[in-house]
Amino acid sequence: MEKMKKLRPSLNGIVLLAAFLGIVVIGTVASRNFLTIRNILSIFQQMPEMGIMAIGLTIVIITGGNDLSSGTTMGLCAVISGLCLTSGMPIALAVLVSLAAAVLCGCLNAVLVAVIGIPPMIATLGTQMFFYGAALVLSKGNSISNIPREFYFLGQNKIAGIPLQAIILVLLTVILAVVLKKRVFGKHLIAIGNNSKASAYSGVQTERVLFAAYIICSVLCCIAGNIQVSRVATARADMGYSFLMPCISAVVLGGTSIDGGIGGVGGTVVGVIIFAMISNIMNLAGISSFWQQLATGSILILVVVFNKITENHKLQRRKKESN
Amino acid sequence: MEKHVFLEMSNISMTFPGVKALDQVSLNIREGEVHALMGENGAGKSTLIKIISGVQQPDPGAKILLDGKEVEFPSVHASIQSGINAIHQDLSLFPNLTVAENIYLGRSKKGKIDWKECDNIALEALERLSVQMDIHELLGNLSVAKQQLVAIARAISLSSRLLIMDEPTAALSFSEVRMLYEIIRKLKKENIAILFISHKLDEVFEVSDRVTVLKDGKYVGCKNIEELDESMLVQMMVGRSVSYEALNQESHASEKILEVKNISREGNFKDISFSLHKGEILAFTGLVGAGRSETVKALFGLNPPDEGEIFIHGKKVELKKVSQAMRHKIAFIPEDRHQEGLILNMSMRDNITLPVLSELLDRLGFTNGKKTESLSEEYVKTLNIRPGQIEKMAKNFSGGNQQKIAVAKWLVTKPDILIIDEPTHGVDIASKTEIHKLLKSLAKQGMAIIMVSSEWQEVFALSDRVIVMRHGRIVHEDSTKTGDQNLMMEKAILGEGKA
Amino acid sequence: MKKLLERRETSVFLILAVLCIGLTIYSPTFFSYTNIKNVLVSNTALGIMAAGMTFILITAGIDVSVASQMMFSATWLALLSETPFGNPVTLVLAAILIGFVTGAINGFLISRFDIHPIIITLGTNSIYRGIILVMTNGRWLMNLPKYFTAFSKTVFGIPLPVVYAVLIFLVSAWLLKHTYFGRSIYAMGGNREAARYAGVNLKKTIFFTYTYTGVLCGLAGLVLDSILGNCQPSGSNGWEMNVIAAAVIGGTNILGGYGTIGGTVIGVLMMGVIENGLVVAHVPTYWQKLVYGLIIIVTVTIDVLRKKKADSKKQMIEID
Repeated sequence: MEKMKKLRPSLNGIVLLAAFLGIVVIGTVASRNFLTIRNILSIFQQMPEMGIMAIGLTIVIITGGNDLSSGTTMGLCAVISGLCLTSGMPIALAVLVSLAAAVLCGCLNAVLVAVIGIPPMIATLGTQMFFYGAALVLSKGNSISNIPREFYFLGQNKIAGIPLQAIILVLLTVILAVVLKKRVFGKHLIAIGNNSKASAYSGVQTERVLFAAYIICSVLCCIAGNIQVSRVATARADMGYSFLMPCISAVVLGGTSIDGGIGGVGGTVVGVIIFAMISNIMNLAGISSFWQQLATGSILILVVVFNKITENHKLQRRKKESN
Repeated sequence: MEKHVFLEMSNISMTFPGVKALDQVSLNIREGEVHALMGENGAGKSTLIKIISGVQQPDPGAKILLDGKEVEFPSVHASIQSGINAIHQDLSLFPNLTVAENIYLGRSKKGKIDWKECDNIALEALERLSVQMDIHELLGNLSVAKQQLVAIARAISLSSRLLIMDEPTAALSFSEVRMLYEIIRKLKKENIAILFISHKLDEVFEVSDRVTVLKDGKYVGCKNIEELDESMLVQMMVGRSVSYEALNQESHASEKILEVKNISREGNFKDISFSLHKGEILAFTGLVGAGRSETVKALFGLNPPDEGEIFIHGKKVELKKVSQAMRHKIAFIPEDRHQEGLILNMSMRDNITLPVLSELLDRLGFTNGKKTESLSEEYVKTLNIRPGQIEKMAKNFSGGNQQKIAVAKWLVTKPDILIIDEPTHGVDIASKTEIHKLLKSLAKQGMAIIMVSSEWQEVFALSDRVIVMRHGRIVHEDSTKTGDQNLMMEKAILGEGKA
Repeated sequence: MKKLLERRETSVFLILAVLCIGLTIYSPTFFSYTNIKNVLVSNTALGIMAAGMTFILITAGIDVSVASQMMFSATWLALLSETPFGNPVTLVLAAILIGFVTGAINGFLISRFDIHPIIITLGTNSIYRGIILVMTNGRWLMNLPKYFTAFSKTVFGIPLPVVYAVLIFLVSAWLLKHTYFGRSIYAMGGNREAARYAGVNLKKTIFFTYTYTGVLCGLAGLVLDSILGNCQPSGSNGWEMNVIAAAVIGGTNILGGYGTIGGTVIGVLMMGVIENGLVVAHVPTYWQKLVYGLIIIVTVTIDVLRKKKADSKKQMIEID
C-alpha cells in the first residue's frame, strides 16, 4: 500500500510530462524538421550549457537559497578561461584556474549568505553585479577570440554521435541525483531547505553544507562557461547573463520549490529541455527570438503562481481536516 | 453593585494543525473592571487575547457578544473600532519611527498626516501616564522599559473600552510597576476595562477584581478576587487532580556525569553551577524569561558561555557547537517543536534518522533505506507513535505524537544526557502520561535527564531535584522529595519566599 | 545637529562633496555649466525610478523590472507619437497609465501570492521587455516629433527634465513623510507583524508601493525618450541594478525600514558624478559595475551585521 503510493506520480510530474509531450506535438506539427535526428542533436549541442547551470542552481534553491549571480559567474569563468587559453597556458591548467575562480565565487556567496546572514537573493544580486564588473574589467569589455583549436573538443566533439557536452550533462545530473537521494549531504540539503534552524539543532553543520552548495553551483556555472567558450570559440563577459531567467524558470518548472526543501535535478533537466525545444521550434518556424523572452517570463510567473495556489489550497484543506 | 457585562465570549476554540490551542473557552468582561487572565505556559492565554484583538480568527462556532449584539473581530482594525486594543508581549512597536508616530499609528486614517494631532495625541497619552519623554526621538533609541511605556501609551490612546496587556510588567523595574498600577487604577476610574495576563500572583491580588483561569486550552473558572487566596489560585492553575500515578522514585546516589561550574553568558545567564548524576532527573523551573532555556542550550553548544567550565565524566569539555555536544552524547529536545524540534515537511522516518544519518550507510557510503526503516519502525513501536506510518509527514501528526517523534529522534543517538525543554507543551493528556512514564524509565535505565518545565505538577511528579531560576540566576536548589514545595513555588513566582 | 551627523546620508553627502572638489581640481571643466547640466540631465530618468525604488526597498521588497517598465512605457509612447493621436497631453496621460498598469501587475502578483518580489519581477521583467521587442521587432524608433523632444527643453538655463525630477522628488518625499501611506511603508519595513497588529493593510500598501513605482517608471520613459529623441526598445538593459545601487548608496536599507528621498537623490548624484569622473579621468567605464557591486555588498553586509547585533540585544534578559 505504501509502495503503491510512492509510484503515484505527483501533480507536478504530470504537468511536466504533459508540457513536454505537448511541446513535442506542437513542434512536430509546426515543422517537419523538428523530429529529425539532426535537429535533436543540435538541441543537445546547445542546451547542456544551460542545463548544467540549472542543475547547479537547483542545488542552491533546494537549500532555500538562490544564486542570482550564477549567470555572471559563468561569464567571469569564461573570461578567465579565455584569457588563460589565449595566453598560451596548457588547456588543463587554464580550466583549473577558471575552476579555482569559481570556487572563490561560491565561497564569497556562501560567506555572505551562511556566515553573515544576508538574504540569499539580496546577497547574490550584489555579487551578480560584482562578478559581471570583474569579468568586464578582466576582458576590458572586449570579447576574447583566438581560442586555441585544441580546446574546441569540449563543445564541438561528439562521442558515438552524441555531443560531448550532452554526455557531461547526463553524468553530472546522475551524480547530483544520486547525491540528493542517497548521500547524507543530499539529505542535509533538503533538511536545511525545509527548516535550517531545526536542522542545525539536529546536528547538521548548516554552514558547511551551504558552502558546499554554493561552491557546487559556481563550479557547474564554470563548466558551462568553458563549454560555451569551446563551442563558440570566443569568451565574453556577458556570456550566461541571459541564462539566469530561463534557468530559474526551468528549476521551478521542474518541480523544485522556490522556497526550498523539495526538488530534484531530473525535473530541472526536463525543464531546460522544454525551454530548449520552445526556442528551437520558434527558430524553425521563423518566429523572432523576442517571443522566447516573453515566453520564459510568462512561464516563470505562471508556474510560481500555480504552485503557490495549490500549496495554499492544500494548507486550507489540512486546516479543515484537523478541525 | 455589579457592573454591566459588555463583552461576552463563549465557545471559543482555536485549532492549529496538530494541536488545539483553545477548546471551548469562555470569557466575560465588565465595564471598568480589572480582569486577570491566568494559567501556565501553553494554557492558551496569548491565543485568546489575539482573538479578542482581531489578530487571529477563532474556529467557526465561536460566539462573541458586544453589548448584547453578536459581533466578529475579523481584523485588528475592527477591534480598535470597538474600543479594544492590546499590548502584545513582543510590544509590536516600530523601532524606525518616532515615539509620537508609534503612538499615533493604528488610527488607520487616510491621506495626509496631521502632525499637530499626532503630537497632541502622543503628548496627551503620555501625560495620562505622567511620563515625560521626547516624542520626536526614534523609538529604537529608547530603553526597553521606556518602549513598554510607549506601547501602553499607544494602547490607552486607542482603547475606549477595553485595554489588554500581555505580561505588562515583565520588563519594568519596581518603581515603574508601581506607576503602572496607578495608571490601571486611573483607567478604571475612567470606566475602561483592563484584561491582563500575568504570572505574578502578588500583582494579580494587588490590582485585579476578577480572575479567569485557563489550563491546557480549557476554561477552568472565573472567580472574584475576594473569593480566592494564593494557594487556591495556584491550585486552579496547576490542577487539583494528579492525573497520572505518583511515579514513585527511590533515590539512587550514583556516578556524577556532568558538572557545570560558574558559567555565565551576557544577557542570558549568570554564575550557574550545578551537577547531574546518572539516572537522575533534574528539573529547571522558574518563570518565562528566567534564563532556563538559555542555560540548557549552553550545554548543547547553541549558546556557548562566555566564562565558566563544563565537565563531563570529570573531564573538561568545550561545547561550542552542536556537533561537539553530540560527540559527548548529549541530546536536546527544544520547546518549539514546529520551528526547532522537527522538520514538519519531512517524513517521520527522515526526522527520526536525521541526527544519525551518517551512521546508517551501506558499504558504498549511501544512505540505506532498510536501515533507516527498521530503526524508525523500532522507535515507533517503543514509543507507541500513532499512526505508525513512517512515511507520513511530521506535520500531519497530533501534538503528542509529534513530541514523541522529537523524543525518538534523539533516543536514536543513544545519549548519556538528555535535555528536554517543556516536555509536554501542547500535548494531550494521554500522550503526556506516556511521555512522563518514558522519561522515568529512561532515567531508571541510567540516562541523566535535565528537564525544563513550568508545570509544577510535572516538576514534582518527575524530578529528583529542582533548580529554580530567576532573572538569569539560580535562586534555589532542592530535592523534590525532602524539600518544601511551597517554598520552591514562591521562590520562582514571588522572587522572595514568604514562607 | 548631532542626529544629522549620525545619518548615513550625511557621510555620503560629504564624500560626494569631496569627490566634486577633487574632480574640479583635477579637471576644471568638471565644474562647467555644460558638464553639470550634462550630468544632471543624463541621470534624471535614473533618479525618477530610484525615488520609486526607495519606497519599495523601505517595505523590504525589491523590483528588478524597473528598467523594463521604463522602456515599456518609452516604446509605447514613441509608437503613440507616430500616430495622429500623439500630442503632449496624451503622451503624459499614456505615460502615467502605462506605468500604472505595469506597476499594478507587479503589485498584484506580489501582494496576492506572497512570492519573493525578486522572482515575480524577474518574470515580469522579461515579459515587459519581451512585449516591446515583439511589438517593434527590435527596431529603433527614430526621429521623435518636435513636441515630444520639447519636454526636455532648457528654459532660462534650467533643463526641464531636472525640473520634473525635482518635482517628483518633492512629491515622493512628501508622500513618504507626511501621509498615512508613507508612514505605513516605514512601519511595515520596520516591523511587519506589528504593522499588521496596528491595523495597516499590508496587501494594499504593497500594491500601492509597486504601482507608484510603476507610474514613476512610466514617467521616466517619457523623460528618457524626450532627452534622447529616439527610442531603443532593447536599451537600458541592466539599469535596474543602477537604480538599486543609487538607493542603497543613498542610505536606504535593503532589508527594509529605513531610507529617505533626500538620501536617494544624493545616491543618484553620486553615481552620476562617479560615472562622469571616470570619463574625465579616462578610466574605462566598465570599472563602474565592479565598484557598484562592491558598494552594494559592503553596505548590505554592514546593515545585516547591525541588525543581527540589535536583534541579539533584544533577546537578552535582565540579570540582577
